[in-house]
This record gives sequence, structure tokens and C-alpha cells, in this order.
Amino acid sequence: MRFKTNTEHNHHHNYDEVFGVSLSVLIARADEKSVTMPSGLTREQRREWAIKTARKVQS
Amino acid sequence: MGDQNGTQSSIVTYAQYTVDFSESFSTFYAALSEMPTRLNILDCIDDFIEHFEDNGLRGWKGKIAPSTRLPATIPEPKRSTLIAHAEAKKLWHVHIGDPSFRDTGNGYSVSDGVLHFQKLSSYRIKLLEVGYHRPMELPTDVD
Repeated sequence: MRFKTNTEHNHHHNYDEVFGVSLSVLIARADEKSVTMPSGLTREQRREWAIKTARKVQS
Repeated sequence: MGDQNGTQSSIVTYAQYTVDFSESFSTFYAALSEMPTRLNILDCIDDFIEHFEDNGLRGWKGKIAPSTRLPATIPEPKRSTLIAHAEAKKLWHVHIGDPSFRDTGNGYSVSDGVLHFQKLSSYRIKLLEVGYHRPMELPTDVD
């Protein structure tokens, strides 16, 4: 399965793509707010952190 | 500052490797984490995160490259503008082994799946997006 973070990507070929992602999308992602991942987490802890963080971002 | 023997000692602090998520990537990673079936891509992302936390970018088995090598077919001046933006935003990508790594014989491996990130410094990256190259097309950064 192949994933991208949302559906903004064009299904047609974009000649500014880098490995399937439009450079303009990457630039927009870079300009988004950042959340800093706590260091030293186990995978399960990291995933729990990510779920809580995403809920905060979306609320 | 001295120790019990009266000899001088100093506290040495090491720069910590830090990983940021873009808000979109945070949502994406959380969605993968909540899936009832664990997908390979999530473990590939975690493998790279854990490597970076311990070592930075050094020593990762997959190819790491700046995302500035756009096809020459993009008309100018658009191509130069895009490259300038990619450089200004410090856009890089790393091959993370999804679905698997392939040895190139050049000291690193490549995979269809890559993780796009912003290289804010040698000690800090911001994860942006997962992408795949089309198997029927030549990737832009294979040597």
C-alpha cells in the first residue's frame, strides 16, 4: 500500500515531483507548524504520543 | 569543579538529535498508528527515527539526498525557481526500505519508499511526507 498524508496530491504526473510528491506540497509542509517529538520513546510510546498530538492539532 | 580525588573534571554535553513532525505528518503518523494492522511503512519510519535519534543521518543504510535534482524536462525558469525553493527550505529525502531495500553497490541502498524531510541542521530534522517513485519511471536521484 502507498500512502501520503492527505489527498492534495495530483493523480496525474507532475514534473516537479520528487519521488511522487510535488515540490510545492513539500514546501507547504515545511511551512506548517512543527511538533517536536519527545526523544527516547519506545515505538508504542511514540505512537501514543502521535495520536494524542494529532488530536490536539485537529481540535 | 573537581572530583573526589581533587582532579579537574568537566561536564561534556552532547547535542541531542531532535525530530519534528509537520502537522500533516503528525496526523499521518497517528493514522498509521491507529490502524488495526501494523503496516511495514510505520516500522520503516520508526527505524529511521530511531537511527536519527542515536546517530543523526550518519550511517543510515538507505540513500539520503537533497531534493533538488529535478528533471531537466521542467521548463526554465520554473525549474530553477523550484530548485531554489527546495534549497531554501532545506528539503531532503531518505530511502527508508519500504517495501524493501535494494543494494546499489555504491555503499547505500535504495527503496521505492522515501521519507521527505527538512534538514534544519545536522541535529534537527522535520518530517514532512512519505513518497514513492514510480517503478516504471527512472527516479531522479539514482546514480
